[in-house]
Amino acid sequence: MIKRKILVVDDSPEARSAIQRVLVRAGFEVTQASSGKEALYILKQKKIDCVMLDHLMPEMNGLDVARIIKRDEKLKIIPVIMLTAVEDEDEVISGLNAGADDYILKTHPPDIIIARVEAMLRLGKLQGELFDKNVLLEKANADLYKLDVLKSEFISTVSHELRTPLSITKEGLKLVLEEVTGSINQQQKELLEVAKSNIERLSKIINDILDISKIEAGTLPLHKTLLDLNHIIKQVFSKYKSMAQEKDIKFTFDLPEHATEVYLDSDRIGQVLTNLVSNALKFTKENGCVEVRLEDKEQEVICSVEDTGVGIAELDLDKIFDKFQQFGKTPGPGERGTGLGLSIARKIIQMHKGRIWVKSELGKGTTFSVSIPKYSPDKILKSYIKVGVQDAEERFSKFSVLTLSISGLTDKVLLKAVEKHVKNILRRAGDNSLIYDNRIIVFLSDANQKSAESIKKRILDSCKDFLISNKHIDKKIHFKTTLLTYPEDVLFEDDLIKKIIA
Amino acid sequence: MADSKRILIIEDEKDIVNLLKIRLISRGYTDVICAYDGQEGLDLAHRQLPDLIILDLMLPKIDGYKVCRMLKFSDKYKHIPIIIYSARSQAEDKKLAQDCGADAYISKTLGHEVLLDKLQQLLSK
Repeated sequence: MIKRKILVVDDSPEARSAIQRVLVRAGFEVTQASSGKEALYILKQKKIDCVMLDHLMPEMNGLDVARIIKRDEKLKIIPVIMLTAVEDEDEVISGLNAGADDYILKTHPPDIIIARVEAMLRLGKLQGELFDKNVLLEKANADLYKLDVLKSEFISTVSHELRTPLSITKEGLKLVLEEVTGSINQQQKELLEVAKSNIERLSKIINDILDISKIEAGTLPLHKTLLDLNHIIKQVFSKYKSMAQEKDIKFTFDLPEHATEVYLDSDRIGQVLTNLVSNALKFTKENGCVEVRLEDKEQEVICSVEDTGVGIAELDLDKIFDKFQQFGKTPGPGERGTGLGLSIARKIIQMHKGRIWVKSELGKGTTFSVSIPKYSPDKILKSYIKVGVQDAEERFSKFSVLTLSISGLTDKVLLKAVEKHVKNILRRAGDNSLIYDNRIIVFLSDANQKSAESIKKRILDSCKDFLISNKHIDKKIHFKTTLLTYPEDVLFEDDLIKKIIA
Repeated sequence: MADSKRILIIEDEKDIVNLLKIRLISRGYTDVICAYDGQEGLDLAHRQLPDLIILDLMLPKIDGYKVCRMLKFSDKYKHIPIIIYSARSQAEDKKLAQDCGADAYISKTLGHEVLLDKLQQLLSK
């Protein structure tokens, strides 16, 4: 058996020899050091299993040596036992605080000293094993991370490269199908339709894979704005109305009468609802029903898509949101999925801090529900400003915020109409507007003081025209505006928020 | 009326150019000229003065953003409408295109018909 090596550090030769005798008798190999410096030198050169360290030494005392050992990435796993001459509480505490693992009185009987050293060696061995495993784990983790980045890059490059030839093929087919290049017969037409629909299917798969890889890599940006969810639902509805008619499915929606404004990414939420609706229609037979419902609750909105379709077996319900799960595959015609839609839907909803769930009964039907939390006006305002400031920083440009209050205008519906009118005047992709505290707040991306001033003038003129053309308005209305530009007027995001809220 | 308009396509993917040409001709735009890299594109724009330019972004020699900026910052050519037709469809790409003065941004995933509709709309202005 390999002898375990103990390093005894003490400036007194007598004390070193006394401890050495005890240790050697018990079968340990002992190395001596007469100073802290020498001890550290030996530790760097030789594998040591345990260090016994005198408390009081000239130059570098025991506490310093213990601290250095415990701060060193490689040495810190070696157990350190402080040696003290007298039982002094302060000495013991300071030793342990410096990182020592135990302490021994030089006057302790040999069997106690040996027992404590043995205990420390056991601890050291475990720590060593843990350390080695940790190193392996860290390496494995780093490798995995690298692989994951590589995977995401690979997928996005490949998908990109796949898209181009695919879209070229589709354009070619379309030219022939639309008889731009001459007439084709019915059978040729049918064959080309099959080719076209399968190319579309392939594009959908590529897009889904790209979405999933972006979401998993955390690189899918959300562009959230305050929007009327009713409007998004109606858009999805009109997209699928004819498909429902063709299948003789009763397709309806039930929306709140007022606008249901939610802070969300309209493209992405539209994508989720499209997926739920197309699934519902796909799995519902003739004469069945599909209904889209929206409930406006205090804290959140809940959108449900209910169908009277084939339903999902209880066993499958748990897996329904997992990747590449396809249920109720039906042979024959009909849209075939990628098995990624619901997985993407769940991720998008999670990114909105919402929930998605499903209730289903085999043979009776399925209801998918999605909840999206409602943000307070404060939170939305802050978030718009945050996005604007970030964008200005990234592009080294300016970000302006215009607040517009209209005194004499008390009608909230009309104020909303004016705000909508303002929104329509805005041109840039990053521009937006919002009603906050009875004022209209306009966010102008990439606008310095000068250009914001000219946009302000345009907005004011246009709002005046709008209000004059609105016959319910008397002429006592006037506008009060403030214009703040980051970073020209306000240097910090928080100050900008404060000034607008005030 | 349409046949008097000259369209310049700047796109390195020859297949796309050929298909686009057929589609353009089918809609009556018979005067179509093509360039396969940014430099050639700028050159043709200068010499042939097209009525509208369809511009890809990822081009050899000079990229599409730069071609767009060079044309839009010159008094002689800035009136020519430019449609960016790119495979990239991120919002950031659209912003960038807007910044260099493009008149429209159509993602390639939308297809040639959407592009042609936009083209017709811009030319009728």
